[in-house]
Amino acid sequence: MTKNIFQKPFLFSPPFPQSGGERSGGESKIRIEFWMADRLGWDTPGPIVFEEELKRGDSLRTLLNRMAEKNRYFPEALFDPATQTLSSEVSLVFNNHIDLPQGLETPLKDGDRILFLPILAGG
Amino acid sequence: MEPYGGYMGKFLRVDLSSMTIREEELDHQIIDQYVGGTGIGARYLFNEVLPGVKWNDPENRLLFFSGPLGGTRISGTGTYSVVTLGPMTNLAGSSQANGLFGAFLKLSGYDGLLIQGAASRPVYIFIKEGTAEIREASHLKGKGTFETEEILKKELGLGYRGSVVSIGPAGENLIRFAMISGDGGHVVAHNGMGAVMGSKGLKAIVVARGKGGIPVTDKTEVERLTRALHEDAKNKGSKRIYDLGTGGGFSAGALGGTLPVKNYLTAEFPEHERFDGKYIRSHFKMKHNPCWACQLRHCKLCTVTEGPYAGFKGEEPEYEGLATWGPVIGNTDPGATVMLNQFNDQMGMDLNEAGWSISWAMECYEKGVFDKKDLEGLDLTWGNVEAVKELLKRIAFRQGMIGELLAEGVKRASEKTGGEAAGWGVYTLKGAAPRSHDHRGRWCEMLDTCTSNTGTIEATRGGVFPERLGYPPVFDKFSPWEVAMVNAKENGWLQFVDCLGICAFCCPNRDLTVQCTNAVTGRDLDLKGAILIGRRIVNLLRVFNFRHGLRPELERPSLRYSETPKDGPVKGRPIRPFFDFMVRTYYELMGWDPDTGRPLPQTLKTLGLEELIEKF
Repeated sequence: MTKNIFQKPFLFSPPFPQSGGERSGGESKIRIEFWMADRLGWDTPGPIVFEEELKRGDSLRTLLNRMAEKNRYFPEALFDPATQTLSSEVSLVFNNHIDLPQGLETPLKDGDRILFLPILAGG
Repeated sequence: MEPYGGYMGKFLRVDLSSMTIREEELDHQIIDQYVGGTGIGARYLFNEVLPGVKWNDPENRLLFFSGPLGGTRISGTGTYSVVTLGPMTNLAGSSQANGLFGAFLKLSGYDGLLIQGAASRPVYIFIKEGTAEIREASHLKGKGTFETEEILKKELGLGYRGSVVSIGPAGENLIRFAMISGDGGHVVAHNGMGAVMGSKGLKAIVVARGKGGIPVTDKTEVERLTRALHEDAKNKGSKRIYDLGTGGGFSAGALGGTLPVKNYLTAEFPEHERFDGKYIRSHFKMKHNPCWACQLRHCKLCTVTEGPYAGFKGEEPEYEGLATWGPVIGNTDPGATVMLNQFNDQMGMDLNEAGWSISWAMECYEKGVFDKKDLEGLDLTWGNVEAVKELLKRIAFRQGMIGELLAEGVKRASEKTGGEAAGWGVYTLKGAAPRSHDHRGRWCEMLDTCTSNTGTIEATRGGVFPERLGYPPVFDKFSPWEVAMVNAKENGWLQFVDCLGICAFCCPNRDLTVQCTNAVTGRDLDLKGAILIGRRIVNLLRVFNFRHGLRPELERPSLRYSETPKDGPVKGRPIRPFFDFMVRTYYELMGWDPDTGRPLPQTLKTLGLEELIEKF
């Protein structure tokens, strides 16, 4: 399932379709977080936090394509399925690290955590 | 040639040596080529501050200029720019502040002020309804910036119809990173503008709001674009700032490895969510404190509601205040950031440089370079907020060994201390510390901070967005070529905005901003033309800097500034091996000699600066 698990959710329409139930034994899931989501295409600051089931052989690329199919905001703001490119406007932190030596081919496994962050200016 | 709309057409030249003030007309050609704010300031700086002049010489100039949008009803147009030869870098400095001052100055009939000379005793300048005078300010000696503002407004019976910019004890005592504060904490922070003001014996400038208006060319179009610009800022470009202030990005900075923690000893700050704008705005009591005509209203006053400083009232710290008085000094109480932010502004210092200087001293204390005896009883343990407050006071008044040492900023303090501690300071080799970020997680800003001609950032506000320039997006934000390329291609726009007299947060949409400028002035600029003006300013300041001793080897980060992070999201990602390549590539793409960084004759010619080719 895809589920908002943030402690104090904001009022917003979840961008991903709800499905399934609580996590059961044997399912592989990853955690996806959108921080400053309003800068990434949503109408709420967030953070928006989801769990997403993994499919066998999932990589970052297959995940992004699947998410792009599900969510009408996702392609224009973050990932362009036509060119298979992630927008420069977003920074991706994978398991608390910015380095992804395998790029979009990075394999995903149970318990991985992916953060989408906008590029910031400060003040 | 028809005069442009948006200008009052004159400025005040104040000579504090002869104690005289005279009006001068703004040269139309200078307006045409440099627009206002930073641009006009840069041109006069170049023309009048000749090689050999030092920052604290009476011959140095301190230029305050608004721009064509200043004082109109366009949101956030109280902004002004200050330009001088700054003490941190001993090169050009340009810094902007919002508030009311820029608008009030124009409504009083002036586009700007040019200050020269030095007074033999403390003075302030009072401008009211097209008149200006220099007045005695001895009774304000030693007063903080907020106090000075309050006293002067009361003395002059101005109340909310007055705008005061002033220096605190730090400026009077020539603390190298002293700032100028106006309208209750809007600061001209970078490159020691307050020290230059102090060296001239100028404690404050007061402007009474005039009754006049700003002449605009197409009033109907200006009204339409005012609404369009605000709607765009509120709902798109500056939405986050509208909702949560600049602190709204605090957590994202921590999670992305750009939050500065404990003098770069670590890059992890688990307490980040309590410093984020979302938490601060939903827990502390907030009150609007908007700048001139501002509809974005991100500036707030706040009351702390929890922790040891509950009940304390002050400005809501901007992101840099939260970062500096939080993770940079190892403090985990968000309420304490409000107290320290307020105290530092009262003393009148750039919080970025103050923070880096203090966190360096804290590391020295932790590692035994300084002990309690050296610090005359001060316990500089990480997070000791009251000790930091005491240290800020000692710096502002140059008290004791540590106050005197840190008053020169972190580069000079660490070099003077020597030994291992010489390598622990976070700064650029030009002499100034960066803004309060961890640029090891944001390479574009480290490159910009090091190669800028203003003493702070010049080209970019943090992002590597090649697709905005028509290039493919870049997956790796740490790609040296893309970082250099984007910085070079982007350079110009920010300098153009700093000419207009508008807050950068209020005009995130470039096309609308140019249209607005045209509607006010009657010009026919396009985006390309606007960026060309910005690049002209960049190159003018660069030539100025070469005339005042800039060397390419100074455009590098210090050892600690460029040290590979040991933890956090950017752990193990080194920048230092790529820095020379990035600088060289950036130079080339800017049209500068890749070895020396000097603008090439062809570049100057393209920008209409042929006259400079023979001048350096």
